[in-house]
Amino acid sequence: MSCPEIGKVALPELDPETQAHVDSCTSCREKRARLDRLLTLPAEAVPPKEVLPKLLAQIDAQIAREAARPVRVPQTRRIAAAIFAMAVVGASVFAALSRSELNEREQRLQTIVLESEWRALGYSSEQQFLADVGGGK
Amino acid sequence: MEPSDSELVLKCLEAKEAFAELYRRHAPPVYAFLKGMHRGDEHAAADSLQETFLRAFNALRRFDRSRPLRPWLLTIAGNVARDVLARSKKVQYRAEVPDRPSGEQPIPETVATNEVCFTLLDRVAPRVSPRAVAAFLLARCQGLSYSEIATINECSQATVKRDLADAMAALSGAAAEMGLV
Repeated sequence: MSCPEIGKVALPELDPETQAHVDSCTSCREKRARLDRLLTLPAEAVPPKEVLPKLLAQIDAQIAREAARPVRVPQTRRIAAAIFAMAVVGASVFAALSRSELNEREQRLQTIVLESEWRALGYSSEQQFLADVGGGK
Repeated sequence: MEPSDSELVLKCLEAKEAFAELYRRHAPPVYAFLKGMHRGDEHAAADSLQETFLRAFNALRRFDRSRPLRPWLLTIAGNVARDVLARSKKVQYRAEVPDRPSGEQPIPETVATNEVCFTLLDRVAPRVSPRAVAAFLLARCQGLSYSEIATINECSQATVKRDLADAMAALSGAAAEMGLV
Protein backbone atom coordinates (compact mmCIF):
# COMPACT_ATOMS: atom_id res chain seq x y z
CA MET A 1 0.00 0.00 0.00
CA SER A 2 1.42 3.42 -0.99
CA CYS A 3 1.87 6.16 1.63
CA PRO A 4 -0.66 9.01 1.64
CA GLU A 5 0.38 12.62 0.98
CA ILE A 6 2.34 14.25 3.78
CA GLY A 7 -0.46 16.79 4.29
CA LYS A 8 -2.87 14.00 5.15
CA VAL A 9 -0.43 12.39 7.58
CA ALA A 10 0.20 15.70 9.35
CA LEU A 11 -3.43 16.46 10.22
CA PRO A 12 -4.20 16.68 13.93
CA GLU A 13 -7.17 14.34 13.50
CA LEU A 14 -6.59 11.50 11.02
CA ASP A 15 -9.38 9.79 9.12
CA PRO A 16 -9.69 6.06 10.01
CA GLU A 17 -8.00 4.92 6.78
CA THR A 18 -4.97 7.21 7.25
CA GLN A 19 -4.81 6.37 10.94
CA ALA A 20 -4.69 2.66 10.11
CA HIS A 21 -1.92 3.31 7.58
CA VAL A 22 0.12 5.45 9.98
CA ASP A 23 -0.25 2.79 12.67
CA SER A 24 1.25 0.21 10.35
CA CYS A 25 3.82 2.37 8.48
CA THR A 26 7.05 3.22 10.29
CA SER A 27 8.04 5.84 7.71
CA CYS A 28 4.77 7.79 8.04
CA ARG A 29 4.88 7.53 11.84
CA GLU A 30 8.39 9.00 11.80
CA LYS A 31 7.33 11.78 9.40
CA ARG A 32 4.41 12.62 11.66
CA ALA A 33 6.64 12.67 14.73
CA ARG A 34 9.22 14.82 12.93
CA LEU A 35 6.57 17.28 11.80
CA ASP A 36 5.26 17.38 15.33
CA ARG A 37 8.71 18.49 16.52
CA LEU A 38 9.21 20.98 13.66
CA LEU A 39 5.82 22.64 13.92
CA THR A 40 6.20 23.67 17.50
CA LEU A 41 6.69 27.10 18.99
CA PRO A 42 6.94 28.07 22.65
CA ALA A 43 3.72 29.15 24.38
CA GLU A 44 5.48 32.16 25.92
CA ALA A 45 8.22 34.56 24.81
CA VAL A 46 9.86 37.43 26.65
CA PRO A 47 8.82 40.70 25.00
CA PRO A 48 11.44 43.40 24.37
CA LYS A 49 11.97 45.57 27.47
CA GLU A 50 11.15 48.84 25.68
CA VAL A 51 7.55 47.87 24.88
CA LEU A 52 6.12 48.50 28.37
CA PRO A 53 7.58 52.03 28.88
CA LYS A 54 6.52 52.97 25.35
CA LEU A 55 3.05 51.63 26.00
CA LEU A 56 2.69 53.52 29.30
CA ALA A 57 3.94 56.72 27.66
CA GLN A 58 1.40 56.25 24.86
CA ILE A 59 -1.39 55.78 27.44
CA ASP A 60 -0.24 58.92 29.33
CA ALA A 61 -0.21 60.95 26.11
CA GLN A 62 -3.68 59.68 25.24
CA ILE A 63 -5.04 60.59 28.69
CA ALA A 64 -3.48 64.07 28.44
CA ARG A 65 -5.00 64.58 24.96
CA GLU A 66 -8.42 63.56 26.23
CA ALA A 67 -8.14 65.91 29.24
CA ALA A 68 -7.20 68.84 26.97
CA ARG A 69 -9.99 68.20 24.49
CA PRO A 70 -13.09 70.41 25.01
CA VAL A 71 -16.03 68.47 26.37
CA ARG A 72 -18.28 67.50 23.52
CA VAL A 73 -21.96 67.47 24.31
CA PRO A 74 -23.57 64.43 22.74
CA GLN A 75 -25.99 65.03 19.85
CA THR A 76 -28.96 63.65 21.82
CA ARG A 77 -28.33 66.07 24.68
CA ARG A 78 -28.09 68.99 22.26
CA ILE A 79 -31.42 68.03 20.69
CA ALA A 80 -33.03 67.70 24.14
CA ALA A 81 -31.70 71.15 25.13
CA ALA A 82 -33.09 72.69 21.92
CA ILE A 83 -36.52 71.12 22.54
CA PHE A 84 -36.48 72.40 26.13
CA ALA A 85 -35.54 75.93 25.01
CA MET A 86 -38.31 75.93 22.42
CA ALA A 87 -40.80 74.73 25.03
CA VAL A 88 -39.77 77.55 27.41
CA VAL A 89 -40.12 80.21 24.65
CA GLY A 90 -43.48 78.77 23.60
CA ALA A 91 -44.79 78.78 27.14
CA SER A 92 -43.69 82.43 27.64
CA VAL A 93 -45.41 83.56 24.43
CA PHE A 94 -48.56 81.67 25.38
CA ALA A 95 -48.53 83.28 28.84
CA ALA A 96 -48.07 86.80 27.37
CA LEU A 97 -50.95 86.30 24.91
CA SER A 98 -53.18 84.98 27.67
CA ARG A 99 -52.41 88.03 29.80
CA SER A 100 -53.37 90.52 27.05
CA GLU A 101 -56.60 88.60 26.40
CA LEU A 102 -57.39 88.83 30.12
CA ASN A 103 -56.86 92.61 30.11
CA GLU A 104 -59.24 92.98 27.18
CA ARG A 105 -61.93 90.96 28.97
CA GLU A 106 -61.49 93.08 32.11
CA GLN A 107 -61.91 96.28 30.09
CA ARG A 108 -65.05 94.93 28.41
CA LEU A 109 -66.49 94.01 31.81
CA GLN A 110 -65.77 97.50 33.19
CA THR A 111 -67.57 99.06 30.22
CA ILE A 112 -70.61 96.80 30.76
CA VAL A 113 -70.71 97.64 34.49
CA LEU A 114 -70.46 101.39 33.75
CA GLU A 115 -73.15 101.18 31.11
CA SER A 116 -75.49 99.32 33.44
CA GLU A 117 -74.83 102.03 36.10
CA TRP A 118 -75.64 105.06 33.89
CA ARG A 119 -78.67 103.31 32.35
CA ALA A 120 -79.94 102.43 35.87
CA LEU A 121 -79.59 106.11 36.88
CA GLY A 122 -81.69 107.17 33.88
CA TYR A 123 -79.00 108.70 31.69
CA SER A 124 -79.37 108.34 27.93
CA SER A 125 -75.62 108.32 27.22
CA GLU A 126 -72.35 107.70 28.92
CA GLN A 127 -71.13 111.25 28.19
CA GLN A 128 -74.08 112.75 30.15
CA PHE A 129 -73.44 110.45 33.06
CA LEU A 130 -69.71 111.23 33.10
CA ALA A 131 -70.39 114.98 32.90
CA ASP A 132 -72.70 114.78 35.90
CA VAL A 133 -70.50 112.63 38.10
CA GLY A 134 -67.53 114.87 37.30
CA GLY A 135 -65.65 112.44 35.11
CA GLY A 136 -66.21 114.61 31.98
CA LYS A 137 -63.83 117.36 31.06
CA MET B 1 -1.60 36.90 47.45
CA GLU B 2 -1.71 38.00 43.83
CA PRO B 3 -4.97 39.55 42.66
CA SER B 4 -7.04 37.55 40.16
CA ASP B 5 -7.34 38.80 36.58
CA SER B 6 -10.82 40.12 37.36
CA GLU B 7 -9.54 42.06 40.40
CA LEU B 8 -6.61 43.32 38.37
CA VAL B 9 -8.93 44.62 35.63
CA LEU B 10 -10.96 46.42 38.29
CA LYS B 11 -7.76 48.01 39.66
CA CYS B 12 -6.77 49.08 36.14
CA LEU B 13 -10.06 50.95 35.80
CA GLU B 14 -9.20 52.92 38.93
CA ALA B 15 -5.48 53.49 38.36
CA LYS B 16 -3.49 52.97 35.20
CA GLU B 17 -0.46 51.80 37.25
CA ALA B 18 -2.17 48.42 37.67
CA PHE B 19 -2.12 48.07 33.89
CA ALA B 20 1.64 47.50 34.00
CA GLU B 21 1.01 44.46 36.22
CA LEU B 22 -1.64 43.19 33.81
CA TYR B 23 0.87 43.61 30.96
CA ARG B 24 3.63 41.77 32.84
CA ARG B 25 1.28 38.88 33.53
CA HIS B 26 -0.12 38.43 30.02
CA ALA B 27 2.42 39.87 27.58
CA PRO B 28 4.59 36.68 27.25
CA PRO B 29 1.90 34.39 25.73
CA VAL B 30 0.48 37.24 23.64
CA TYR B 31 3.96 38.09 22.36
CA ALA B 32 4.68 34.42 21.53
CA PHE B 33 1.42 34.29 19.56
CA LEU B 34 2.24 37.55 17.75
CA LYS B 35 5.74 36.35 16.90
CA GLY B 36 4.15 33.37 15.20
CA MET B 37 1.62 35.56 13.38
CA HIS B 38 4.50 37.75 12.14
CA ARG B 39 6.61 34.68 11.26
CA GLY B 40 9.38 35.49 13.69
CA ASP B 41 9.63 39.22 12.89
CA GLU B 42 10.37 40.55 16.39
CA HIS B 43 9.94 44.24 15.48
CA ALA B 44 6.52 43.67 13.98
CA ALA B 45 5.56 41.45 16.91
CA ALA B 46 6.69 44.10 19.44
CA ASP B 47 4.74 46.85 17.64
CA SER B 48 1.67 44.63 17.51
CA LEU B 49 2.08 43.78 21.19
CA GLN B 50 2.10 47.50 22.07
CA GLU B 51 -0.97 48.12 19.89
CA THR B 52 -2.75 45.09 21.38
CA PHE B 53 -2.32 46.33 24.95
CA LEU B 54 -3.24 49.90 23.99
CA ARG B 55 -6.48 48.65 22.42
CA ALA B 56 -7.05 46.48 25.50
CA PHE B 57 -6.56 49.50 27.79
CA ASN B 58 -9.11 51.50 25.80
CA ALA B 59 -11.62 48.65 25.79
CA LEU B 60 -11.13 47.58 29.40
CA ARG B 61 -14.37 49.22 30.58
CA ARG B 62 -16.32 47.06 28.14
CA PHE B 63 -14.57 43.82 29.18
CA ASP B 64 -16.87 41.29 30.86
CA ARG B 65 -14.94 40.45 34.05
CA SER B 66 -16.76 37.15 34.45
CA ARG B 67 -14.88 35.87 31.38
CA PRO B 68 -11.19 34.87 31.18
CA LEU B 69 -8.83 37.68 30.22
CA ARG B 70 -6.23 35.81 28.12
CA PRO B 71 -8.55 34.71 25.27
CA TRP B 72 -9.85 38.29 25.11
CA LEU B 73 -6.30 39.62 24.78
CA LEU B 74 -5.48 36.96 22.16
CA THR B 75 -8.58 38.02 20.19
CA ILE B 76 -7.34 41.61 20.15
CA ALA B 77 -3.82 40.43 19.26
CA GLY B 78 -5.16 38.36 16.36
CA ASN B 79 -7.10 41.34 15.02
CA VAL B 80 -4.07 43.62 15.35
CA ALA B 81 -1.81 41.12 13.55
CA ARG B 82 -4.32 40.60 10.75
CA ASP B 83 -4.66 44.39 10.32
CA VAL B 84 -0.88 44.81 10.15
CA LEU B 85 -0.45 41.89 7.73
CA ALA B 86 -3.26 43.15 5.51
CA ARG B 87 -1.62 46.60 5.40
CA SER B 88 1.87 45.33 4.68
CA LYS B 89 0.83 42.39 2.46
CA LYS B 90 4.14 40.91 3.43
CA VAL B 91 4.76 37.74 1.44
CA GLN B 92 8.53 37.72 0.95
CA TYR B 93 10.32 34.55 1.90
CA ARG B 94 12.74 34.53 4.77
CA ALA B 95 16.21 33.22 4.09
CA GLU B 96 17.30 31.63 7.37
CA VAL B 97 16.69 28.03 6.34
CA PRO B 98 17.80 27.34 2.78
CA ASP B 99 16.16 24.71 0.64
CA ARG B 100 18.14 21.51 0.67
CA PRO B 101 19.49 20.79 -2.81
CA SER B 102 18.97 17.17 -3.78
CA GLY B 103 21.82 14.87 -2.81
CA GLU B 104 23.01 17.02 0.10
CA GLN B 105 22.90 16.01 3.73
CA PRO B 106 19.71 16.81 5.64
CA ILE B 107 19.62 20.11 7.48
CA PRO B 108 21.15 19.39 10.89
CA GLU B 109 19.02 19.26 14.01
CA THR B 110 21.08 22.11 15.42
CA VAL B 111 19.05 24.60 13.35
CA ALA B 112 16.77 26.10 15.93
CA THR B 113 13.34 24.53 15.69
CA ASN B 114 11.64 27.89 16.25
CA GLU B 115 13.39 29.39 13.27
CA VAL B 116 12.42 26.43 11.10
CA CYS B 117 8.81 26.82 12.15
CA PHE B 118 8.88 30.57 11.44
CA THR B 119 10.42 29.89 8.05
CA LEU B 120 7.73 27.35 7.26
CA LEU B 121 5.04 29.81 8.36
CA ASP B 122 6.63 32.40 6.08
CA ARG B 123 6.68 29.97 3.16
CA VAL B 124 2.99 29.16 3.44
CA ALA B 125 1.88 32.76 4.12
CA PRO B 126 0.75 33.41 0.52
CA ARG B 127 -1.36 30.24 0.52
CA VAL B 128 -2.78 30.14 4.04
CA SER B 129 -5.06 32.79 5.54
CA PRO B 130 -3.91 34.66 8.67
CA ARG B 131 -6.97 33.20 10.43
CA ALA B 132 -5.72 29.67 9.67
CA VAL B 133 -2.24 30.58 10.90
CA ALA B 134 -3.82 31.95 14.08
CA ALA B 135 -5.76 28.69 14.51
CA PHE B 136 -2.53 26.71 14.10
CA LEU B 137 -0.64 28.85 16.65
CA LEU B 138 -3.47 28.87 19.18
CA ALA B 139 -3.93 25.10 18.94
CA ARG B 140 -0.33 23.95 18.81
CA CYS B 141 1.49 26.61 20.82
CA GLN B 142 -1.12 27.92 23.24
CA GLY B 143 -2.79 24.51 23.58
CA LEU B 144 -6.29 25.94 23.25
CA SER B 145 -9.37 23.88 22.42
CA TYR B 146 -11.37 24.19 19.18
CA SER B 147 -14.11 25.99 21.11
CA GLU B 148 -11.66 28.53 22.59
CA ILE B 149 -10.07 29.12 19.17
CA ALA B 150 -13.53 29.55 17.62
CA THR B 151 -14.25 32.29 20.17
CA ILE B 152 -10.91 34.02 19.55
CA ASN B 153 -11.10 33.76 15.74
CA GLU B 154 -14.81 34.68 15.81
CA CYS B 155 -15.84 31.68 13.69
CA SER B 156 -17.42 28.24 14.08
CA GLN B 157 -15.60 25.17 15.40
CA ALA B 158 -16.01 23.54 11.98
CA THR B 159 -14.14 26.50 10.46
CA VAL B 160 -11.41 26.11 13.07
CA LYS B 161 -10.98 22.44 12.15
CA ARG B 162 -10.85 23.30 8.45
CA ASP B 163 -8.38 26.16 9.05
CA LEU B 164 -6.18 23.93 11.15
CA ALA B 165 -6.22 21.19 8.52
CA ASP B 166 -5.35 23.77 5.79
CA ALA B 167 -2.47 25.17 7.83
CA MET B 168 -1.07 21.75 8.76
CA ALA B 169 -1.33 20.48 5.18
CA ALA B 170 0.44 23.59 3.83
CA LEU B 171 3.14 23.54 6.52
CA SER B 172 3.89 19.85 6.12
CA GLY B 173 3.95 20.32 2.34
CA ALA B 174 6.46 23.15 2.74
CA ALA B 175 8.54 21.04 5.12
CA ALA B 176 8.59 18.25 2.52
CA GLU B 177 9.57 20.73 -0.24
CA MET B 178 12.46 21.90 1.90
CA GLY B 179 13.54 18.33 2.57
CA LEU B 180 12.85 18.59 6.28
CA VAL B 181 10.74 15.43 6.40
